[in-house]
Amino acid sequence: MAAYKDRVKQDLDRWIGAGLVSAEKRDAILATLPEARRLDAATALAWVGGTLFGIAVIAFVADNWEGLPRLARFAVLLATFLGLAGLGAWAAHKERPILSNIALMIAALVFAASIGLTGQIFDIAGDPKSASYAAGAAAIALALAGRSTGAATVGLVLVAIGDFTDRQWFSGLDADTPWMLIAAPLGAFLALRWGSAPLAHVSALAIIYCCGWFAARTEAEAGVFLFLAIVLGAMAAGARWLYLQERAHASAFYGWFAWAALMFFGIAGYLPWFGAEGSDAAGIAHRIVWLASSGGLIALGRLDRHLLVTTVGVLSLIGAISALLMDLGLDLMAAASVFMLCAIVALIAGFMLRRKAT
Amino acid sequence: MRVGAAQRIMAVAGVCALALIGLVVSEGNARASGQEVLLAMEAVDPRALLGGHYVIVSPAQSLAPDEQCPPGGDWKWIALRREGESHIVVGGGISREEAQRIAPLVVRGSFECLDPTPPADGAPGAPGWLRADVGIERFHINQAEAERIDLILRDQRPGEAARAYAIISIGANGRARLRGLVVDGERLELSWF
Repeated sequence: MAAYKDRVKQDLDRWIGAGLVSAEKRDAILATLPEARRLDAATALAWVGGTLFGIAVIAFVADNWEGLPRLARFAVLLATFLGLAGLGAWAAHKERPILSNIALMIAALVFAASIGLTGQIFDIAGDPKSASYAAGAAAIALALAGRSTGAATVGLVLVAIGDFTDRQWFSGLDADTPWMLIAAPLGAFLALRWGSAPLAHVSALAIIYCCGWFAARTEAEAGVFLFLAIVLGAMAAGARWLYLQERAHASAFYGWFAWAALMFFGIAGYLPWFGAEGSDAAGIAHRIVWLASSGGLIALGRLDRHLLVTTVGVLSLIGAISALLMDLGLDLMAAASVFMLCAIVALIAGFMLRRKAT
Repeated sequence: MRVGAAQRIMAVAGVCALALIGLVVSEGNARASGQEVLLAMEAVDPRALLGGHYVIVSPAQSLAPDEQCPPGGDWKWIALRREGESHIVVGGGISREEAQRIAPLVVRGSFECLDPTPPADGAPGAPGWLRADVGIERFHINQAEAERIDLILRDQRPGEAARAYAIISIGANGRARLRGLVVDGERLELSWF
């Protein structure tokens, strides 16, 4: 694929030929565009050599691991961690953000492994949850110190592992507060502040996980899921507002929150409130609202030119239709009535939108 | 004064490294200063040794046909009584005080127990067993030693004198830490080297 500058060159030549741009401006315009970064052969070989050297060192240490004294093994772990953190610091000092980011991410992973290996080396019986939390806190601290989105992502994952350890889901018995309640909003803040797409996706999922945790504290009650669906819907609306303000990567939050809102709403319809203890009419009402919300989300996705939101709307619509058909026991006349009603509503809404636009 | 990213990174990394060193030193001190007890060990099925360089530490004691399990429950503490060179579990409690009413030496943990079958109609009866969980699972050691210990554990028969013991250090807060193993009278202790 041609680099951006090459594509601009082709377009410029076409525009000059068409008389849209004067030929004298060509070089000045092209001079404003940076050259694409290319990996020369020497640099590529240096990377390959460095990687192979690293693998050789790891293999050598692994082969002699049992033979090394305990303190030497511990020193190897500390030296590896401090070496990677030092590399990250050096890269930050030299203003090489990508290298710094990668080094700090690996340092965070090495520190997490070091906690486990230290327990093994010195036979320290530890609590896996505390170990994950400690590693997560260290990763987030490294991320904040060096503005590393990779380390922040590792931190969120480790905190999630700590939260997931020794849980009794949907039993109403868990009393511990997950650390993710603090880590997820922090991750979202950093994602928006640093403009990081991977961190935005991970922290959006982490926030959804927090909502799942709230739901799991109960004994699977429909009201809780409905409430969380509304909360997530409100958060999706907030993310949409940021997206429309062209805030970098707010798009990821918009898509994920919209998906989660519909998912929680869908699940709510299968919980006791609408099931054994509820009425059939409430169940049908839930499916109709589900259908309408899905259709609305598709329209919103198209309006905002947001592919993920549109996709979520389509998938949700398929889910709602399938649910309705199963509810009605494949009673085609009843299904036809419901779908006809929804189709009329969709058509009227579309017609009104078109009239408003013109 | 604005602190640069490089300094911040090294400060955080230094704190992390010091925390890890502190953990090792404090655990080592706690292990050295705790009260030492020996708990008999048994082999764990399907394998006492999972092919690597560690032995699964499973404190267990055999109950003769005329003995009974201590009262069971959702215990958080277990009471220990000295019997010869080692200690045995004699009961449990939800709190430290409750366990200490049974025996003065207590440790955080729980146990499961199967009552022995008493002799009846000329049949000799079958021994029961009690397995304690004091939060220690493994003893890391080189593979050759681990395999040798595994063979010894598997050679043990119910009712016979135990040949392998876990050396446990009980801290002031009741937490158990592993100091090492005694296998056929040979003491294999953890060290810094």
